[in-house]
Amino acid sequence: MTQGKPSTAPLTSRRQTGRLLCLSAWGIALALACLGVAPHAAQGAELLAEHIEIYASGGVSASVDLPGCADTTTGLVDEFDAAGWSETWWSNSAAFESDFKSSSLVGGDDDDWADAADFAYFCGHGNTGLVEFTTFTAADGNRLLFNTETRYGNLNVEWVTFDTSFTLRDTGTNISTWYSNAFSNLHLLVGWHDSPLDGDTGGQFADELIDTGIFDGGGNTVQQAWFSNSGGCTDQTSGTTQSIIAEIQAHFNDRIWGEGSNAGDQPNNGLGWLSQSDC
Amino acid sequence: MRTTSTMVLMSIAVVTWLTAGQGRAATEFAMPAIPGFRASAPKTPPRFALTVPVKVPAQLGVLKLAPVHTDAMSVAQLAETLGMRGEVLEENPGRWLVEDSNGARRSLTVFGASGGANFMHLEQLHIAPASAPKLPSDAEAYALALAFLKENELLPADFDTRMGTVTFHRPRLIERDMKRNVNLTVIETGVQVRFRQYWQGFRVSGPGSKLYIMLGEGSVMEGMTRMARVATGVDMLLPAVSAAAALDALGQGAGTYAVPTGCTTAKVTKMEVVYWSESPRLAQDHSVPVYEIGGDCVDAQGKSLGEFFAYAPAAYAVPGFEPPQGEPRREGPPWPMDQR
Repeated sequence: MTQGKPSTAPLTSRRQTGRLLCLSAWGIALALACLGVAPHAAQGAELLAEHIEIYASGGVSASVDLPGCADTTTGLVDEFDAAGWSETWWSNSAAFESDFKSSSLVGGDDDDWADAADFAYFCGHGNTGLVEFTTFTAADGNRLLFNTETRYGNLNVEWVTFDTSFTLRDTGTNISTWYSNAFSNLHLLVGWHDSPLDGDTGGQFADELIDTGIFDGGGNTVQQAWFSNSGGCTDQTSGTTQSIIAEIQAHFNDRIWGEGSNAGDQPNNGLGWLSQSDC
Repeated sequence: MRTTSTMVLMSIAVVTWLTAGQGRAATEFAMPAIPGFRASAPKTPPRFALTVPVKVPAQLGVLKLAPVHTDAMSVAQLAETLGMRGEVLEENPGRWLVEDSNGARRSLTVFGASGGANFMHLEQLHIAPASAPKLPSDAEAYALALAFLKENELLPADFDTRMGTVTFHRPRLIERDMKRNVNLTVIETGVQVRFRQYWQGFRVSGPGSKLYIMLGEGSVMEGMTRMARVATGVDMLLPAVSAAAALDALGQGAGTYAVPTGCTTAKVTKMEVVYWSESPRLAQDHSVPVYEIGGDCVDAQGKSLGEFFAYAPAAYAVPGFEPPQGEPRREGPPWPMDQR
């Protein structure tokens, strides 16, 4: 849980890249570049990024492979890294359904992964009220993450993005089910009402979220970055609808750590907000 | 700093269709390089049922697109047109940026490969308002948007400006009692006026064809998106695929679709030939026609599940096509861990 600063508890046992990489052996020029981002650095802020490219070719799913997910997650991680975030990045069969499933449920482990981060991002397949993984533990029973199985923010995470089709489709009950389960001090749940094409969604989103210095744009609110045609909408056709769910209206104006202020944690009071815009 | 690939030279994907009982390569289609949808697929594809008549000529053209040249000067000119003052930066290769030094927080992003531009008034656009803004009517917004584009010479000739073809979109914030599933407050945050582009009489679709003006409180222009490649003529003619044949092909793997879970029958209520304009991040020198398809899905009991979306081939390939390039894979550090 966070008020005014990112958490300091690390995603233990995970690789922490970012600043370490910046300061390792890349010489004076790169070190200066690292110093150049210092005013924007999000010390202690942590990203959990997961993507799945291999679906049909892996033999466990009928869904098509998603090379764009691999590429766009690379872009997203690059951008967060440049801003000084620590990253954990699991891909394909190492992206576990349990990572996003509530630890309060059998087979859930989000307290160690999605909810241990400040910003969690998943790119892959989805459908109404669910996200499709390819790997699950025996206790989980299946590789689909459902909207009834999530609880975010009770430990740490402020912003979760499911860059997957239909997952946040406003069918009425779908949005309220997401809200009622997932929001436990979570600020924003970001995703799609419609079906995005497998383009550069996450990378462009991160580009608008983060300002890495005088030669970079960004630093915009999460909502601006997701809805922008130079952000999350860049590679989508006209009319593709996006969704963001918030605990309170002010969360729509959140900036992520290092980029400005956010509205702080708020308990689930049963009254949530939905924002929708078309690409 | 991110790096963006921009090297796509030809947008024609030749799709091999494995027809049942006929062996490999019974038919080859010409398809634009459209990425797949990120929608979980059913184990068995739905049946695509055509419910509307679809007219298509015997032949469809592959169009040549005009080369694009973007540099700091052309970006600066556009910024000046939008009333901005600020240094032009190339923040990533092929992605130009101007941030206003004129007091207001405004940004202009220009994708060099296509010339596509996105302007945002960052103190207003998609900022959740304290109260419902006073917005113009659709007719007022249309008049304001059209006047702005014309006065500033930002209206490409191949966009249809007739009121009947313009669409209006109003982004919404909804406060909802989630236990009772009842909306308590609905706030329209702006009015987006959207113009459609046409080539050879067919609508242009894809991320590279967008012309929007977003108006907010007091009819202030909060944003503009202008993605508009230019077609210069027909490069070659291809035999057209009938709508029925295209839907058969779609069910057998040519093209891409997104259907809700449980969909067994996809009732096609919209099916039209469009020209595909790729991501503004990418260079594109040809445009290939494709069927854009939509409608409603039902489950095995006939219950409606909601919309579906699809693209299916509209033309057969003929000898002489360059093989598709597609977007090159992104190079990145070997960070993602696929073992644990």
